[in-house]
Amino acid sequence: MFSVFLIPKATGSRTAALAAWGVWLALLAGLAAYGLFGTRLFVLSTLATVFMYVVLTQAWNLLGGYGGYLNFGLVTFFGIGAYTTGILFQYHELSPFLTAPLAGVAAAIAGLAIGIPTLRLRGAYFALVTMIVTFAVQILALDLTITQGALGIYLPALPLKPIAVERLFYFVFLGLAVLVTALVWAVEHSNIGWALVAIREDEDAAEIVGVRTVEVKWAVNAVTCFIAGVVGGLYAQRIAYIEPTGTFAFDISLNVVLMAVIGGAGFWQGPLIGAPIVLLVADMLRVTVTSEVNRVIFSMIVILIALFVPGGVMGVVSRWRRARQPKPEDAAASGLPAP
Amino acid sequence: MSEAGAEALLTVDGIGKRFRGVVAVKDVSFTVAPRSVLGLIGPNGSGKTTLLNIVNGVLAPDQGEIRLSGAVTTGRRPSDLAALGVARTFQAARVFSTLTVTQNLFVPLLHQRALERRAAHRRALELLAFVGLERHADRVASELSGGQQRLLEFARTLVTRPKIVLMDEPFAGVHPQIKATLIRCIRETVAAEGASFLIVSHEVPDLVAMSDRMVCLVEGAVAAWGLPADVIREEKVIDGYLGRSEEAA
Repeated sequence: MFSVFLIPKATGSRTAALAAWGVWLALLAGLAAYGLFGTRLFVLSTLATVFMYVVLTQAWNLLGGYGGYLNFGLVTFFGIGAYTTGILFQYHELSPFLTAPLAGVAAAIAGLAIGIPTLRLRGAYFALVTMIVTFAVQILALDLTITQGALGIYLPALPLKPIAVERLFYFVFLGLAVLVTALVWAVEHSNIGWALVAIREDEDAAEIVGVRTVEVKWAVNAVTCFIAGVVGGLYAQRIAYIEPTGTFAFDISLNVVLMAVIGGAGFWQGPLIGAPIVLLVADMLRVTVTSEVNRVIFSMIVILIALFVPGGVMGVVSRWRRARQPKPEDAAASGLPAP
Repeated sequence: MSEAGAEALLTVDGIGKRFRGVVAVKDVSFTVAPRSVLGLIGPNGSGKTTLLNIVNGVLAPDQGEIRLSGAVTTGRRPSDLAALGVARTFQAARVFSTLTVTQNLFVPLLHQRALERRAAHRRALELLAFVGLERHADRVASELSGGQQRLLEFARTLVTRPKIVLMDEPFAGVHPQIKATLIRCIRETVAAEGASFLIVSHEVPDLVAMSDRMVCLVEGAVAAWGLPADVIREEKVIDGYLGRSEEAA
């Protein structure tokens, strides 16, 4: 059904590209070293959360960033994943580390079931429906017997010291972040990524030139939901207790969208930049500004970014790179009128 | 109204379309032969673009049938028709503006089977050279001029080696050099690749010069169909579209 070509684009000089990869690899090596030797529980725990959000935001980025379908309900599939591992432990005593892939499959099936009707909607209608679906699934989790309603499900704490638990999840989420980032990089540099951009820019034209737009959206949405489900399944083990309000919290969906928008939706680097910024700023505001005023300040920062830095940090970098690119010879030389 | 129905590449058979009370197209029939150019003319609002939209599956007709190489394609979605060999350009070029020129050419290849990456890349580069955009291969499409975007859109239609290309006002508002490039490319594509073209245009002299057959629509119906020189002399075409010069009057 798909004939996917991976063609990395040449941006700037080879030296600059190697230098950029060198920086990313050094950062990764530094993070791995901190994971091995770091002793501060708070830092390990915060960074594990950052990595978890990097994975979620990269997953969102596939359809939301490249495809332009703003999903405000990613937490639905994260929650379905969490409940899948929670229920499998509750009734069959299976470890979430074993059942996390099943959590991804359950979330992907739910994503297909929800996506088949909703991905025919566009723009604000799609965004609105994804939010409504979250609340509907949350109510379902509150009412069903199998999910134990508001009581929630307890999972056994791992038989490790707190710092060892955080160190474990630090590496689990770091590994997933690397894998999912590699996947998103490949999508960005392949014709499936360009087809998604075509859908974002002009869906009707994309369909007319031959992109089976509906099937592409379903498939990509299923992948997004699978990743969110796996993360949710592992998250259940990390916090060892899941209940509908916290597991399906709208804040999680909102954070993911903010991270993508601030870092740069539609760029593989966007979530790597956006996730730490949002979490660190949010934490800083929580400590420095008491009460709910910190949410107001945070919202204002986001509005200012949306107004003055559209495309987020990577949007600025991309425009700067493009401005530095040498232009082809003058129109007269090419025999064509100038742009 | 079929000239050589059995050999036709595209058959438009009794097509009708209404938008609420307004009749946009009524009982339109004609055929497009393989390796040929069919010019479609008519005044504004005569149903030309509606007809293109029906042929490439954007709109479903209320009556009639479209056949491609004898197989009925009525009601099939645009991406299915693209896979069958129907490509399309628009009145205003619709390129994917944040993608590079080369990336634009890769978008239609997503569902092409048995296409190897190097072959696809080679095809893309050949097409850029063909339309004169090879220097712009790595530029973002939004940085191209309107005329260059039109050339890019044209190259994009050819990347899948279509059987027929539908072109809506390809010469409107473009630089004469771009127009000359487009005409050359259309002629060479017919000759070298055996594709057919259905071209909607108000540039009647150009269309007369390049078309094998012409159709004129007036008020949604076929006013004339046949050889270009004959069509432009038809009374209905002169009265309904071209008008008479003062001397003749």
